[in-house]
This record gives sequence, structure tokens and C-alpha cells, in this order.
Amino acid sequence: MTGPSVFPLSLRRALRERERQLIAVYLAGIGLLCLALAVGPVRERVLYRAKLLTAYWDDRWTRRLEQGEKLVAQKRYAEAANYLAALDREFPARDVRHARDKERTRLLMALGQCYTELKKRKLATETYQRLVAFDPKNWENNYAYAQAASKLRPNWAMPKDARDQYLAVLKINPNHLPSVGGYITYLGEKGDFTELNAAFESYLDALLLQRVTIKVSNIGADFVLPVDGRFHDVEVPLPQLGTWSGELSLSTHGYSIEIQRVALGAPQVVGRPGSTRREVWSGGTPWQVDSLTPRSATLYQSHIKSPGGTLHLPLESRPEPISTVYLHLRLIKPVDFQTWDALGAPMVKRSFQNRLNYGGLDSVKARIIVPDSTE
Amino acid sequence: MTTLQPTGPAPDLHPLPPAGQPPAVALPQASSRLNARWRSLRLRHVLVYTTPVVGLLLYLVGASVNDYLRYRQFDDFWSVTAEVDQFFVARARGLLNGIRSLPLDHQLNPEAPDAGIVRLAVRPAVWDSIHGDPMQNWGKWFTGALARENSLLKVEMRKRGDNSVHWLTAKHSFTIKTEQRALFKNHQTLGLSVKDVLSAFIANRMASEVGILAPSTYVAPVFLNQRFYGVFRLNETVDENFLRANLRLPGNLFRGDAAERGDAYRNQNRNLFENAYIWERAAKSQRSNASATASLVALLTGSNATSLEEHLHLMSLMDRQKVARMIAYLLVMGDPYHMDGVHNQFWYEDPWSMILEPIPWDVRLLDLGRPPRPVNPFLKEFLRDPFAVDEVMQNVRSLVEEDHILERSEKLTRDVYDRYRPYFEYDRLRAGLIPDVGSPEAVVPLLEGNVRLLKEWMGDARMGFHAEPAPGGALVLDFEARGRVGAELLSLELVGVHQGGARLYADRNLNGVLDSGDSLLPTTGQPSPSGGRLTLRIPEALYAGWDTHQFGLHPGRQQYRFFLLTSGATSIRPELRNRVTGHPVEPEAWAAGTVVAPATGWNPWRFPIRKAVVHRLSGRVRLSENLEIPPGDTLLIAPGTTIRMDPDVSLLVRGRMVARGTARDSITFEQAVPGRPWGTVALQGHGADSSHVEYARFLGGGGIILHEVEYTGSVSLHYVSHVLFDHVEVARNVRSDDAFHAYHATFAMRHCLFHDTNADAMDLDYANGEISNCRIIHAGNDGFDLMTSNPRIFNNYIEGDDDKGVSVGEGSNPFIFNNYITKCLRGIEVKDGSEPVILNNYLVGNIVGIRQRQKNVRYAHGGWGKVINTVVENNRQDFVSDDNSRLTVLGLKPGQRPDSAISASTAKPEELAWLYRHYGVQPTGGGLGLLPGWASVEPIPVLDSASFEDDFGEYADGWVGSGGVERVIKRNRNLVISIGQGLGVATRRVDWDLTGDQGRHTVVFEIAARDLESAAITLVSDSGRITRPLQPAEDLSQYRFEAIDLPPAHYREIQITGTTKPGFSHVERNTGLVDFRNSRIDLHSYRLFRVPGEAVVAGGVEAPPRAASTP
Repeated sequence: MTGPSVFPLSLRRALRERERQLIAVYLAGIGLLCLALAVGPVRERVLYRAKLLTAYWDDRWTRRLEQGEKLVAQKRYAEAANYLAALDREFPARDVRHARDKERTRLLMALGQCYTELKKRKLATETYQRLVAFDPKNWENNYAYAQAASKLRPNWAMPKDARDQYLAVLKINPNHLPSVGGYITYLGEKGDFTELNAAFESYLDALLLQRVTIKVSNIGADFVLPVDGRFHDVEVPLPQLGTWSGELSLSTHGYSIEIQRVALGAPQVVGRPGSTRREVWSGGTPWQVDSLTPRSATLYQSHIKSPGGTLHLPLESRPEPISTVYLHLRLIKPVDFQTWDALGAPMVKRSFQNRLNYGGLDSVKARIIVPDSTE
Repeated sequence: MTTLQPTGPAPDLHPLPPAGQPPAVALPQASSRLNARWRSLRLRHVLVYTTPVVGLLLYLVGASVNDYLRYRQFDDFWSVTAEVDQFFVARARGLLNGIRSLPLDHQLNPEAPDAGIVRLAVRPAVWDSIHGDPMQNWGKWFTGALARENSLLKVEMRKRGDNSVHWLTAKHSFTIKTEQRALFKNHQTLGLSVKDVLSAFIANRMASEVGILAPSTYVAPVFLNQRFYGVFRLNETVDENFLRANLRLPGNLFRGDAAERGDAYRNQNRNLFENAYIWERAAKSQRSNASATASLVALLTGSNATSLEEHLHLMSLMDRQKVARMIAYLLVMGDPYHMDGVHNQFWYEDPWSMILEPIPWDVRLLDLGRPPRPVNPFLKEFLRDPFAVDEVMQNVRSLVEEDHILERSEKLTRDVYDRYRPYFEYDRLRAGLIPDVGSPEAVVPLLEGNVRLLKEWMGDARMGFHAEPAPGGALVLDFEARGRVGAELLSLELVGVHQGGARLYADRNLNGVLDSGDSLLPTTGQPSPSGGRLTLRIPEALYAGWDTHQFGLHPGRQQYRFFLLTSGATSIRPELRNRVTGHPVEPEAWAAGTVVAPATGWNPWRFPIRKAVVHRLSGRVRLSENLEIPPGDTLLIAPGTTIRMDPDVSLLVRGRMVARGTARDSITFEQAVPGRPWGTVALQGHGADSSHVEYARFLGGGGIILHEVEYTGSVSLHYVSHVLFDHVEVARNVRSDDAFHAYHATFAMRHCLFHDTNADAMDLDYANGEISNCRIIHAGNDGFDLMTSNPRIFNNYIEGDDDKGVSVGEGSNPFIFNNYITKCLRGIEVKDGSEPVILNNYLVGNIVGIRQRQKNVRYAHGGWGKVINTVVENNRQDFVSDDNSRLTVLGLKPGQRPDSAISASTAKPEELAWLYRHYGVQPTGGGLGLLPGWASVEPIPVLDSASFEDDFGEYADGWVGSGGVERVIKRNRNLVISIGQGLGVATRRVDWDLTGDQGRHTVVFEIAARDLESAAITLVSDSGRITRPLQPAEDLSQYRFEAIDLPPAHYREIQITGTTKPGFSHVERNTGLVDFRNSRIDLHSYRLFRVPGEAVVAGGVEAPPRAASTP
């Protein structure tokens, strides 16, 4: 028995009248679809469209996060906190392996910042703890937590969770100067000068290998040098033969440098006796510098706030080619004045003095450029 | 109100022809039928009929989009390069292949008798919760079980893998971990990987096949809850268990895997060779010298060396030969790349030498001719060393010559594929939906191509050459190594000149001119048809340099200059030989005046060369600072010398030490400041091999940490062989663990005296040799402490040790013979998988005579002593054993207690001829306890043997059960033969042709049986059968040696038969309950010897069987 149809009579009549055409169109459609999916290039194009659509739909999380960050940038913290908290509940990345893990980090950072600005200490702490737990090997998370904990300190002293977070940073990135400074500030406030001296020496001893770029008449080569405040002999074979025209330049990519000697080696010539290694600089005229401050003819300081800089040494023109560059130099870790000798709590310098450890003080001074109050 | 419409076919709208006229056109019949059908077709029918097609298309598109969305959850290489189309194709292919896989499905049997099959049982809900969502439950362990024949082994499981390939398909990678006391085929933790199963198996397995320290790897079909889950590659986790299994003491194991998603260190330099703080330690050294990262920092600094001194320091951190071997293996696999600067780095730091050893990890099988990237910074720096390059190519030659490695890897590939063919084929049909498991057709050609290419490399010893007269009369000879391998300069053909007076200098100081810094090469001259020939007495090696700065490894440049002082030569032709193949090398012309391009490696002539020195000590010597003897040097200490050593001062000998005192003029090492110990006298490294110490006294040492190596003995041997100590006294050490410590050493210690030691008198770790006729009195801890060591300990007197007289631990198999042990806490303690032979000893007056137990859970077993003709009496307890230990004795009667059995296990010397002669002993007299006399003779070898290890290999090593045998399986170091009902027989084919062999042949079975009415061992030969009845016992902790003398014949088969007790039950001793368990025979081993003497007469041989040898 046939029940009443849901379609109006006129529609059914129209369907019946055009049923042949509809069937034909339908079958043609199916056929075309099959054909499209069977023919590789066509299918690829069709499914690529599907991919773009899917990707756009999936990128809604990014768009929402950016909206929240915009609110934070506009300092609408309360509104932003509500918005980001809601997003946080739905956000798909729950594990650091997720493709949107960096966005989740941004989300929690922004949310933590909102709570910090709103002086919601408990919520801020919880948020940063989740951030650290989400990616415990990202030192920036620990540092953000430490900064927030310092900012939201309940009394004048730096809280222990800030110290713990600075230590967590230093465990995986012992060359992070702001965290060294933060930890040293904590120790200075506490008056633990032994530990403070050790912390600073650990910073100086921590392995930091830095790529240095050398160029001789546009032939460039890289070498990696420990940034440890100690002199090293460096022998750099050039990938192609250089010439004596132009200049020799050194880029330290942000570290202060002291150079004592530079020599250039000429290659041998087949069948001809002799080879030359010519010293071209040993502390005479200062180098020309970009974004570096000369402290002496040999010592050039990079600035923490504007790292970078290159040294240039003009070369006298000579006929023979250059195959090898020999250097005697050191790279120096940055130290800011706040960490070295800030007013208020005793920092590195006074800590050594308080322990009457002048030998230790001289030793660390020999490995750094002692900052002045402008640093 | 609705109006019913007619539902019949639509009226024919074609106009009919006028009456009486035929149709204008006669339609073909088929066409009209089609037309009629078309007319009768209704839309709803079309919709219904096309539903499967539409549904299929919707499914394929929808599922593909969904797959893509799953991939988008990750952002590694596989995810970001994913396309919807690839999933569409994979799903479509999967649908088609699903039909083809149906016949295979029946061959995938979880109950198949194959020791390699892994059967996992996990609660489905737990499994779904873990693996349903690829983003959930990372790092979370969940409980499952490994099914074995009739038992379950509890395991923990979790997801594993460093990229999305491991997690996104229907087949996931995971890790399984057993409990510590119950290992699975000798492993506690195994990773199950879905990626590149067959090729990765071959690539990684070949590492251990060519003698490189590498984790074990296997291929296994895995069943999950009785359903086939896939073929996996199983690989051992690199941890402390791995180190111990590979004869390494626990030390720092540095792990660099910063690329692993979720374990990455963000916002840092991710180059492992520039950042020490993104490394972890997979195992930690527990020695007191353990420095967290000092070696690692040195490795990183050295890998970025900017001077030769730094490079030499890097090379001093490792064994160049071992690293070169590893690189050669990587080249054969075509993949010196995947152990790169961001992941797959494992380095073991040996605490006893502080040498770093790389461990290959996740090596792939690639085409060596298509390098995907440059090698890592360490390899770049290592390969700047011309000696290292040379060593690599020498190792390549040893690997590829005569295609040994190719044949072995091809056999491995085909064997594993054939063994698991249905499983592989089933998985290959699913390729696309799961990662491809690979096939021999893909693996073998790659290996063949790599070997072919490496052979080309071996032949590439191109050498540029030019000779030019220079001012001053000398000829400048310039060579440039341009190939993959170096050459040797053998001679110079001097055309137009007589060879007399010609001199050849090498420009060693590399300044390009002949001066006093250059060395004169020893040569001899001969006349030749064209003039003369100047032959180098020692061929001069002209090493090659490699260029590592591009993708892959390329031939580089290395230049050498010589000066020839001669006159009148019109031309010079050098004779060169390929350093690897030995073939002659024809030099290429090098144009005069060419500017020499920078070398691509360190010039070998810059490397320091040290001449050997002999150091002598005599008279009264006071050492106020450490004395170190470098490798190659010799230290001679004269008889009568007294060396007074300041506190903590040590003598570290890396060269050979000869300290031969006499009975009247002994050599003495003593404290310069009484009461304050000196450090150690240490022989370190194989440079100290064959050192000899005689009539010497070592008094008051204390151990020391030197160059970050801990020397726990006042006398220490580390990595040294063939050292002799004779008439040596070691006493009154303080502070240090051991008076004498040997690590990876072989030595002989004869007529020595140890007394009043601080702790252990002699501590042997992975050490072998002989300790004989020594006296150990009042050791502060053990007299002998053995770890994975197999020394011969005989004729010693051990008294009053505060702990064990002899502690046999951690897989040691020493021969303990004719010793007197008294007044110790324990006479002999046997632990942790150790199987000592304890023969003709006398243990009396100890608190415990013999104790057996499991102490270290990493070894999974207790002790297993073979106690023969040993008296254990008048101890407070003669014998103590735990449930994990076993005991083998002779003459044990059923039901006899082990402690009474030990002393009662008397065997006549002639019964034990095989045993004595195997250990090189010829007794004169015999019986229980100490032998009245014996002589040392040549040990007899084992002609054939078998022992059993529960592994991924054969199920029962060729043993087949029949009759009432329910199963034959390897378990707990035994072949377990379970008999369910009646007579059961287990057989194994052998091929022992003893007809033409002189002497007496004895086959010895170490065997136990329980719950049997009767049992027997039968040897079947062409001439008949020999049967030895067995006496079953009540439990399986007591084993016996059953020695059967074999008359000359050709033996074909071993049969072990057993008849069950009626009723199949056993009354459990403790509970009195009936225990329905199978009767069982456990065979631990068999060995066939040829013992010198008269052959056994074939009188007891039965007639040959007429039918098949097995019932």
C-alpha cells in the first residue's frame, strides 16, 4: 500500500514529464563523476580543490587565535581573557606533536598575559603551568612563567616558582642571559654569594658554539667557535682561492670579539718551490666595524640590544692568491650591567667582592667585557 | 485528498503509420529492446541501482578527505606533503586488494608454531582508547600481555615513533616492555616499528652482523587479540640492558634525537653538534668519575675543530678503527646521512677508558649514488683525517670483497621474507593504507648497486703528478691524491740517469722548499733499462682526502711534495700502487704552474710522529707525581727496585711493562707516606699487551681517578691482553673497591698472594685467563668477584673472606677446579645466568658452602652450577638455592636433596674423561674433593653441540616431537619436551660420521625429567641404536650429565623418549593437591667430544631399525 506522497502533485507531475531527461542527466552526472575520479589529472585537480576547502575550514583555529591576540594587542585584557579561555577549551592541540602546537603555545601565552595584566595570580599561574606542561622543553615557556611569577610576586622577594622556572630555563638553555640575570637576582636577594658566583661561572662555562663567517675578496667560509672568552687558533681553508684585492671581513652574528692575529696563506704552485704565509694584522690599526663598538684596537663589543656587526680589514693588493686564513681570536659572551653590578641587590661583581674572591673576579673579568651602566 | 495516478509504463508517443502501410524504418531488435527498457526505466529505480556506485564514490572521497584531515594534525614531512588524492588512490586500491587478500587471510595463523610470531593481548577498549586518536595518550603506558604457548607474559605498551608515519595509518608503531624479572626473548624493551620493515631490518641488522655495537633487530608478524595486525620490525631499545648484553658496563649513553616531535627543544639551535643541551642520557654512568657531559662537550667542540690540535683531540676521544668500521657499514647501506645533526645519535662513553663509541640507529637502505644531504658535522670532521678515510676504505674492502656482505644480506632478506611470506604479502596488499613493508625485489638491487659503486670507489686512486727542476739542483716532485683512496709511492723510474747518489726528501714541514725540516726517505737504487730506479724501502703512503661539503661524499684533494736530489734525469716516472686494491696506479699529468687548490683534509704529514722510548726504573725510586708511559714505549723495572709512591700518585702504563724481580730481589710498590695510599698501577689499552710482572709486591694502593677514568684496583688492567703476573703479592690496599681489577682483559695470575685487602681481592669484569696456585687470605669482601668472565681458577687456597670465596655473577662461566675454600661467608655463590663448572673442590667450614640465586634482575635467571666431585661439608649450610636457579650434578638419585647430592655426586675419573680433557686436565687418581695430582694437557674441542635460547629464530632448533609429545619448544635456556600421554619421542637429525675418526667419542647430555614412568636417550646410527635410560626426578631444578660413549658409526639421529606416568597427575608437594601437568623433559645442552683413548667396542649396539627411526 502506498502512503501519501510528501511531494506536491505539480512537482510529481513535472518529474514524471521530465523523468527521461532527469534520468539521463543523473546518469550522465554519475558517469562524469566516475570518469573524473578515474582519470588521474582530473581527479587530482578535483581533490586538490577539496583539499583547499578542507584546509581553509581547518584553519579556523588560526583565525580565532589571531582574533584573540588582536584583543590582547589592543589591551582589552578582560575581553581577550574570556575569548581565549573559550578558545582554549575547544582548541584541538592537546599534545605537542600536534601541528597546531605552536598556536596552542601562543594561545596559552596570550591567556597567561591577560591574567597577569588583570592581576589574576592564580589563573595566570595555572595557565603558565599548563603552558610549561604542554611543552616542557621549550625554554621560552619557562621564561614567560618566570617573568609572570616575578611580576605577580605577592611580596617584595622574588617567589620560588620564578627561581624554579629560571633554573628550568638554564637547564636546557644555560646561555640565556636574562634567565641568568633573573636567577642571580634571586640569589643576590637571598645573599647566597657562593651559589651566585657559581651560577655566573656556569654561564661563562656553558658550551656555546657560534658560527662565524669570514670573507676574503668575496670568497666566504664559515667556522664554528666556542663563545667562551678564551683565545683559539683557527685555520680556515677557503673553498676557492681568494685574492688580495678588497678586504677581509668577519661576522660574529652578535658576539663581541677580540682578535690578536690574522695571517693569510698562499697556495703552492705545482713545480715551484716555496709557499707563503703572510701575517697581515697583529693589533695595529683598528678594524673598520659595522654595529660594533671598538673597546681597543683588538677588542670589539657587540651590543645586547642590537646584536650583529661585522669587522672589516682592508687588504693590500698582492699578486698571489689566498688559500687559507689563520686567525687567533676569541668570542665573548654578553653580560649586561644589570647582571654585573646593578644597584639594589648585590650582583656578580659585588658578590665576588663580598666573598673576598678577587682572584675569581679577575678570572671572570678576563672572559667578558665588563659592562658599563649604559649596557 | 490525493488522486491515484496510473503507474504503468508511459504511453508510446511515436505516431503510428497509417493503416495498411508498413513502418517507414524497421528498427533492429536489440535497439528496440534497449529502447523499451529505457522507456520503462523509472527514476527511483535508477536511484536505487546506482546507490552502490554513488555510495562507493562518496565513501572514497569522504574517507580520503577524512584521512587528509587526520594527517593535517601533524606538521612533519609526511603530513605537510600529503594530498587528498593519495588517500583516494590508496583506499581504492585497498578495496580492490581486499578481495585478493581473502585467500591469504586463512594462512595467517596466530597459533602457527613459529618462535618469531608475537601474540599480543590487550583489552579492546583500552586499545581503542589509545590508538583511536593519534593525538591522545602519548607517553602513557597501558597494560597488555604477550601470549606464549600456555602462559601470558605481562607487558606494558605505549605508542612510539618519531614521525607521523608511525601513527596515522591502521597499523601503529609501539613499544612493549616486560617486567624486569621476566624478559621476552632476552629483551625487556622492544620497539615495534611499522616503517620500512624489510629494508630497515636488513640495514640495521647488518650492523651487528659486521661486528658493530648495535641494537638487535628482528622481523615478526604481530597478532593482536588473535587477529593479524601486521608485520613489524622489532628493535631493541638502547639502554643499560643493551649495554650489558653487549659486554659493556653501564656508562653514559648520550642520546641526541632533537627532531623527535614532542621531544624537540624549541627556540634553540637544533644542531646536535653545536648544542650540548638538547642531548639526553639514555643510561647514566654510576661510577664515581661520572661526569655528566664532559665527553659530549669535547665531542661537539672537536666536531667543529678549527685547528689540527682540536681535530687530534676529537680523534683521541674514540677508537678510530671502530668508527671507520661503522662508516664503511653505513656506506654499504647507502646511508651515512640519517644519523644526522638533528637525530639518531647515540654515543656510549666507556667509563673504563672514556672512549666514545657511536651506535648506529635507524639506518635506512638507500642508493649510495643518490645522496640526500651532506653528512653530519662529526663525520665531516672525522673524514678530514686522511688516516680515517684510509681506514674507512680498508673496511669497505673487507666488507665487500668477494661479496660476503652482499650474500649475507641477501640471504637474510630472502630468509625472513620466505619465512613470513603470507604475512608480508598480506601487508603489501594493504600498502598505502599502511606503510609499505617492502620486498626482496626492492632491497637486494639497492644493496647490489651500493656494493658495485663501492668497488668503483675502491679502484679510484687517481693521482696527479708533476716533476720540475728547481733552483739549487733539486727536482720538485708534486703529487695530488684525487681519488677516493690513496696510493703508495713504491719507486721512481729515473730516465736518463744512473740511480747512484739520488736522494729523496719528503716536504714534511709543508713549506714547499727543501730544508732541514724535511725527512730523507730510505731508498735503494737499481739500474733499469732507461736509467735507474729508486725504490723506497718503506712505501710512502699518499693518503686521499674526501670532500664532505656537498651532498654526499666526494673525492677531494690532498697534496704531497718531494724533493729529489739527482742530476741529469730527463724524465721521472713514479710507480704507485692503490692502497686498497693493491693495483698499479697510473699517475695523471699535473700541469706546471698550476696553483694548488686547498686540500680537503688535514695533511697526514702534519700529524705528530712519536718515537718509542724505553723507560727504566731501578734502585730506590720515589714517585711524587704520576708517571705515564705512552703507547709504544716500554717500562723496564729492574729487580730489587723499590718504588715509593706519594699519596694518590699512580703509574699509568699504556705501553709494555716488564717488571721482573727475583725471589731474592723482588720489586716493591709501597706508600711513601705511611698510612696514605698511592693510587694505582694500571695497564691501560692494548699497547700494554704482553706485560710481565714477576716477584713484585703491591702494598697500600688506593685506586684513583685519572683522566676521568676510575681505576678501582690498586692494580688495574683495562683493555689489555696476555699479561702475566707470577709470584706477586697484593695487599693492604685501602679505599679502593678491589686489590686487583681486570676489565676486558686476559691475564695469568700464578703463585700470587692476596691478603688483608680492603674489599674484593680480585675483581674480573669481562675478563678471562688463569688464576692458579694463589692464596687469598682475609679479603675484605670477595676473594674472586666475576662478572661475565670465564677464567680458569684452579689450585687456589681461599680463606677467611668476609663475603664470598668465589662470586660467580652476571653470566660468568668459569672453570673452578681443585680449590680449597674455607672460613668464608659463602664458599661459592652462583648468580644471574652464570654456569660455572665446579670440579674437585673442597668447601669446608664456611657459613654457606654453595649458594645459588638471582640477584640482578637484568639477567632473568638464577645461577646454574655444575657441581662434580666437589666436597661441600661442615658448612653451616652446605647448599642454598632459590627458585630461579638450577643445579647439575653427577650421580644424583631421584628425590635426593641437592645438598646431599653434591657431596654424594662422585664419579670415577674415567667417567669424567670428557670433562677433564675438555678443560685440559689429566688426573692421576680421582674421586671426591681435591685431586692428589693432575697434569695439564691439551684441551679437547667440542665436535658438535647445541644449547637453547628462547629467541626469534627457529621454534625448536630442528627438534620434532611425535607420539605423545604435545610440544617441543625452547624456553628458559632449555629445550622443553612436554609429553601429554603415553610414549612421546623428540628427535633431531644429526650427521656425526665417527667411522674414520680415531679415539673414543662421548656425547654428553645435560638433562632433567619429571613425572615420567621412564625415559631414555637413543642415538641412531647406520649400524644400530644406543639407548641410555634416564632416571626422572620430581622436579626440574636438578639436572644430570648423561655421558654416552659412542662406538664408531655414522650417527643420524638423536631420540629422547619418555613415557608418562599413568593418570597424568602429580601431587604438588607443598599443597598436596593434584596438579594436572604434563610430563616433561628439559634438555639444557648436548656436546660431542672425541676423547683420546680406546674406542668403545660396539657390543651394546642394537640392530638397526627397520622402519622409520621415530615411532
